[in-house]
Amino acid sequence: MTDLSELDPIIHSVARLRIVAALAALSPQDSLTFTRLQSILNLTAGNMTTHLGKLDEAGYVTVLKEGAGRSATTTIALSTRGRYAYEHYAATLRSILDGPNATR
Amino acid sequence: MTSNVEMGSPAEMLALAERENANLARRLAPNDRFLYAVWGFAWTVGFFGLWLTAGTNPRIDARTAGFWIYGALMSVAGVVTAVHIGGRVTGLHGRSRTLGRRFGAMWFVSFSAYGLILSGSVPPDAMELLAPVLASFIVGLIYMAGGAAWDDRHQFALGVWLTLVAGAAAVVGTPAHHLVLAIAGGGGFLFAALLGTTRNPTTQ
Repeated sequence: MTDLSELDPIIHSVARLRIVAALAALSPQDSLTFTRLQSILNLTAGNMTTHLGKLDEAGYVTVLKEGAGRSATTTIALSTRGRYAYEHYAATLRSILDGPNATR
Repeated sequence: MTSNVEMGSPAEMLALAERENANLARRLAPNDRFLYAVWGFAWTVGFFGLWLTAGTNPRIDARTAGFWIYGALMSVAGVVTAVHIGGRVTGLHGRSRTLGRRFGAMWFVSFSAYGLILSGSVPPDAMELLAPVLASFIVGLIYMAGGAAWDDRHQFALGVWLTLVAGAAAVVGTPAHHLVLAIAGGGGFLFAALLGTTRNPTTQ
């Protein structure tokens, strides 16, 4: 029996789910700048930093800083682990929805 | 905007994930159908104008105007394409960016060499035929390469078509070659704009 408690708590938060789901659309060899990701998701920089920090701690995203000072660019990518976790999270949701005790 | 605190039902969470996933892919992918429509318009009108004003007994005696309209349409289409793609891929790093830059370099290098080839001692009669036919040939080849690189069958098919159209236009000869490029070339772009799906390089 699948229930909500099986959902990955790192992804099971609206902001982090949005970040991970968006990053999952990138090809595995691509990354996106912090600024562009923020503008696409329409989150505040502070919010992004907080949630990316948690995802980074869990090893779900790779945060890379290129350059220094004003020209520094931060790029974000979903790690292999993060991609797997996202796919597992989505699969768990689907199995909850398809299950006999579905609570739609 | 969705709140960060409240968790939705499983159905809502799944819908949110799918929406954000599709949204990012859509925001980063150039809209090929839009670009094909822009180029289709430029080719159809530009080459039709050259055809109308071509030859010693032109339908409209305004050769210079024909060239200017053609040049302006192609330049505007080029700028629109560069601005559109540049905007869509802003912030994208990694392999897709490397591929995109090489693809952009293909256009630049090819058309720089094209300019050099035609700046040589090409007789006026040959120039009349060679300039547009060679340009179409290059565009066709690059689209085939793009279609191969991004596994995009629409782009590849358009490349095949434009390459063959360039060959056919050369066989037809002046001044009807302009008409072939306007109808079959421009028409090929417009057909691709109608039929094509929006490419999504980020999920391939």
